[in-house]
Amino acid sequence: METATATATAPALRNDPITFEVLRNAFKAICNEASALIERVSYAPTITEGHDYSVSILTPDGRLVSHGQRDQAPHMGTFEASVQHLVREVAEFHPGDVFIYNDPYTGGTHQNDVKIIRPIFHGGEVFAFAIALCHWPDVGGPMHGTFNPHATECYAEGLRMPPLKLYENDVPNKPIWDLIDMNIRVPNERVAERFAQYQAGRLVERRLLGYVEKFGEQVIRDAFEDTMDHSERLFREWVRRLPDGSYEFTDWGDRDIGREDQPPIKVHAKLTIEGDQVTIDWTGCDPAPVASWGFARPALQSATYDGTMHCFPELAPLNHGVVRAIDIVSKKGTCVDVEEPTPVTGYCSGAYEKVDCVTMACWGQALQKVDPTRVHAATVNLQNFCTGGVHPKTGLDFVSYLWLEGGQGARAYADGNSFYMMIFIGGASNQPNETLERWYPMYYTSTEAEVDSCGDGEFRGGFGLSRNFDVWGDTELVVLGDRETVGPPGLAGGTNGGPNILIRNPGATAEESLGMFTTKAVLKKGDQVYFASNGGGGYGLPWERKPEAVLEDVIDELLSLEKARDVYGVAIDVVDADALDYRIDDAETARLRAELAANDDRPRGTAPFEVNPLGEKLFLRPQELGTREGAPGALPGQAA
Amino acid sequence: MRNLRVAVDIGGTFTDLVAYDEDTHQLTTVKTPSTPPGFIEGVMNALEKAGIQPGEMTTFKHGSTIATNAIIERRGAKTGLVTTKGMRDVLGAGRANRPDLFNSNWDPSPPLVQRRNVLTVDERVDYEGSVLTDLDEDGVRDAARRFKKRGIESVAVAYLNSFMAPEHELRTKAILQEELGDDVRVCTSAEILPEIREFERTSTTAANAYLMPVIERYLERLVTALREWGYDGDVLVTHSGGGVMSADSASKVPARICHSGPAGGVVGGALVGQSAQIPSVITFDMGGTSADLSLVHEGRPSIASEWRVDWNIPILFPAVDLVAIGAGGGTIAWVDAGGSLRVGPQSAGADPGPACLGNGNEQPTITDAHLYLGRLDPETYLGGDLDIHPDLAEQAIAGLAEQLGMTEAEAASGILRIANASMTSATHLISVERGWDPREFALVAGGGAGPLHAVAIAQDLGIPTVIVPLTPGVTSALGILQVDLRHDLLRSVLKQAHQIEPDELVRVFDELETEAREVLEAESSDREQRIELSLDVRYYGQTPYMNLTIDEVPRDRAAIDAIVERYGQEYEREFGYRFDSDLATVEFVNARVAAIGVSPETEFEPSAAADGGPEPRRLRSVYFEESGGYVDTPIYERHKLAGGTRIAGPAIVEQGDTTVLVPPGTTLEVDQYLNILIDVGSGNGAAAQAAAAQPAVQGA
Repeated sequence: METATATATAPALRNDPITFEVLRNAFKAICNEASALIERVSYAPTITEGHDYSVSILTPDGRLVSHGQRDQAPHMGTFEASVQHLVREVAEFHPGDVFIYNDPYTGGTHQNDVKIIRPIFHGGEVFAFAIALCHWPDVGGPMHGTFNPHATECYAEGLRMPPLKLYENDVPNKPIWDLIDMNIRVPNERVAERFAQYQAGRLVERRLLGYVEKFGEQVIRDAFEDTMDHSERLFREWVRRLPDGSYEFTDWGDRDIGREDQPPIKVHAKLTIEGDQVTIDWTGCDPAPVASWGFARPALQSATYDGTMHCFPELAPLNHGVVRAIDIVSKKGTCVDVEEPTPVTGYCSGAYEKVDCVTMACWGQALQKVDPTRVHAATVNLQNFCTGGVHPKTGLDFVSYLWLEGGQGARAYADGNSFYMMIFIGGASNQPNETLERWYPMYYTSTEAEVDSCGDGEFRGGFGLSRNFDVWGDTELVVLGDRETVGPPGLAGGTNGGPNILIRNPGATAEESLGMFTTKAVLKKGDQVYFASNGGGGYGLPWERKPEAVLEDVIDELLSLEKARDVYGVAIDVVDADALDYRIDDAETARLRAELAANDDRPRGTAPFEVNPLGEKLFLRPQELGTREGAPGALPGQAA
Repeated sequence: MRNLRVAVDIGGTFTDLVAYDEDTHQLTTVKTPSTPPGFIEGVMNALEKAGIQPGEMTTFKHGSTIATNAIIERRGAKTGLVTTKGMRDVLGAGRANRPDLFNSNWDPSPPLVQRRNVLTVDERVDYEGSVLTDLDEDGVRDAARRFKKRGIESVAVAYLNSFMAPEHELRTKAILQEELGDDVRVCTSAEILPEIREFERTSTTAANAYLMPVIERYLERLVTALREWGYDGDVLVTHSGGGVMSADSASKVPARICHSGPAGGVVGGALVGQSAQIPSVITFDMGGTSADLSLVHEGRPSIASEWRVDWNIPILFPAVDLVAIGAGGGTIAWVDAGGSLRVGPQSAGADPGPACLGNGNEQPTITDAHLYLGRLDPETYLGGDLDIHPDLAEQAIAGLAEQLGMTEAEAASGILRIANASMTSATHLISVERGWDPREFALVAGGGAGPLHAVAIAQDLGIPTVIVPLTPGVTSALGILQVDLRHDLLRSVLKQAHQIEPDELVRVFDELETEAREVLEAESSDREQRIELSLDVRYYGQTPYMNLTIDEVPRDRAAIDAIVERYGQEYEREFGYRFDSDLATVEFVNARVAAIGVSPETEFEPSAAADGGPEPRRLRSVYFEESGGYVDTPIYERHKLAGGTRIAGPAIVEQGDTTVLVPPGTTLEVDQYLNILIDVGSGNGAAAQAAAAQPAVQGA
């Protein structure tokens, strides 16, 4: 068992409060600038359109100080482990050294997340580290895009790099560049990413040293510490307000496709609050799956921080102050603390989503009576969607990495938003169909809401999206997702959100569900692919939803008349659809709703549209929370 | 009779007018309250207040906030959208991203077209513009029928890949117009923005349709009012790109006139820089709720190809590149639960405003900090029309100081340091991080609060000079006076440089140029005309591009290669490296043509030099951190400072619409056009050096 140690209450500021605030803002601004630079000079649409990258500043002993505002939480949550490993491994740093590193077991998430790390020197010593991470669309291995659902070992995924000197004295270290280029697809494109990440590190160095020159080294070092202490103080202040006790929740991965019986994978946590002490215990999780679904300890920490930050958004940016205030307990060899060579490319769609969801559900129980606006049902699950091949017209190799936005989980005071990026990558974007069609041999046939896909409730989840396409050139497809059979949990009697779906040639005799764990499906010219995402989980009882809100969704053709009637108990007469003349039948609605309330025989379970039993048992309904008319008071995070 | 060129900037609160006498070069400025929701009355009031006769006015140009407001307040037309079958939620999904990583309480603002009014039609072209599915004309007629039943006033048409083949959209428009009649407006993405990326293009087109009926009615009312008043000349409208166009054109592309006020401000700042003989400036305008920063190099404002009215409403028309930060006079300072002093992002705005107004806000703001430190005079602040209560400001600051365990002066001064630091960061971003050396620029300060903060920002970045124009409150109107008539036209190219046939490029530019000449002929036949050509260029595979101005259309391989080489150089200047040709090829993304009808130069009349130093109105005790406390500081009145005046800081200059802070160690000079130039150099080696190298900034 491994735990992080929580310290006592943080000390007062070292710098004066004004200098502190100036520098705290400066650290954020530096990361934002470096992040913006990456966006402007990288190559892959994954990065330039999709924003799958991050920049952070860390102390010489590997504690996180700040990160970019639109960066990706899974990345930065692992940066402490990364730098701490680097510091252990490298005997001596020299100015101008730059390291490349992607090993998931010691410092990270999965092989595609390639970090470029620059030690920043002042006065002959390492003063800070800058990390710039980009998700490279390919780092080799048998599959286009490196995700390999059927891998049973990391050796069948992609190139794994310990910290390697990419630059020495700011001169590229050619053998290392060649080694990388020889082991990945479309290496030319990745050269641009390497430059971008390297330049981002230089920018952080330049800016940070500018502040050192102005304020003096000690002031900046103190500001690092003050920044962390400040976040820790804010966080503990919050925790003290919450009732002491233990809060538990369980969520499930669809299945371990590496085992013959393909069992679901259990993720369980127990959050314990005592005064301002926080422990999250993950030892109740299932053993590591055989296939690529779990993650190593650094990613567990990252996901726990992310779930926590969503409940306390005013703490952003994440830094070591929050990290050290949470004891994370896990057991080696479980699905959330896997060991080499258990594969991990699918960590994000697998364990990360579940840990995030469970963390938020645990905090939500502690928060619901204190501030119900911090209680959220689960959001769409990531699907890692990779295609590759040779473009029929240009003759060029291509690799594409995509994901699909879906429904946000309902909040205890409001609906979830539709077409919402996964909860942990709020800074990421979708990629335009028109850009994708130029690069890859497919025609998109839809970008439309998946009707009725929301988890239902007094507040419903957001709707999922279908982004279907026709193929006009042979393409290999690898998909590593989840939540096809386990929906994003609904809470307080709301239902789980709709499924992630991937079907080849729907409706045809050759219809085939490719599903969320597809290894190297070969799509042929003329194939039609139906690809749709989860709706968000619902909150509260559907028949307590305002009939007018149900009517609006029906008029917008997001919700069918049948679902409005059967699930929400709202009877709607369509007088003239062309003129948008729809009317609620009040008498019939009252009758239907009385019947639904008296006889709630909805199936309980974890499947899409079932009532999540734990969510139902552990969470109070809007009526009990006083949130039927919306948020009471200010919303957290709105001023952050 | 006088010959007056008149420019009017209609803001949410004030309508500013600047009239320039072409013969005497005299400038008249007027500020009157705006008259929402109609706004026209305010314009007519300003003309009357300025004492202008209809026959004297040779040109009328104006900028207006009405388009931006119509979007923000959702007061546009009832709008429908026709799009490709299957693509109904391109507009609603947007890019699916969020401004804040961890904030699950954030909600995007609702799209301008409700989902129910997004109708789809069977049709499809591919990425090269070949038709995959013919346009279903019956489907278009069916959509029209439904729009009619719903009382839709305006329709946007945006199909996938239409930037490569406009025919389906144009045919759709014809059918819709035929079915819906002339009272319903229709616009297509192919006409107004034939550029790749479906969401951004659709968003721009939808915003345009949403505004068409509103702006058309507004301009009709304005033109009618001016005609009835007796003016029969051109009525020109400023757009986001820092130019003007005719009222007719503006009615067709109203999304272009969003953002026109800030654009005018930047052009005005450039003009001020030119009058002080410093053509490269950073403009800094700080008002009640926010501060806008922009960079002008050698008289040319930086132009961005995309900006947003709101997080999820991008508009892809060229726009003056502004960075806006939430720091203004009304920005609130507070202490968070962790004991840290924070400044913003909440603002008390104009209402209730700073604590010193006593209108219900009790939290200290940036204005309260200035007042507490003696930098603002409660008697004369903002012309002295407001009832200012220094005791309320003090109370608010005292509460903050107690929480922080520091003196009131330290707390007030700290608020300003934090605000300055965030504005310095933003200035750094638009200059140093884009490859510009701030030591080669001057900072032009405007807005009610700008000249109070400008020196601190300039000192931090090594900017040697701060310029405060004579009328910093009407910089935007001044810019509008000067802007050229300008139309920006564009075609997608999307070919790699080495594969492109020169003929192809020549044909694209010829078409654009023909179109440009037609517009100029129609709107600007009596002006000097200019055509500017440019290409958007990027490494093949990248998303962002760089706009390169070109002197002539490249007619052969060598000319294309030269552009590729220039791109490499520019890229290296901005990013510090470039790619070899074996690593990355270069792609031409868009061809652009700007049709420009040159506006006559605005020349300012030099004023007589001062004889003898000015007398301060009085001395006031003002806090300066660098002096370690309060210093007796002379207070001057701006209108009494003649050309050639020289004053060493500390000093404060007051004028009706702003207050200029001249800290210790800096020197103020008034030039012959009555600009205040502050040499911020001392105490900063690099800045002092650059200041010494600065040409001709001395007064008469």
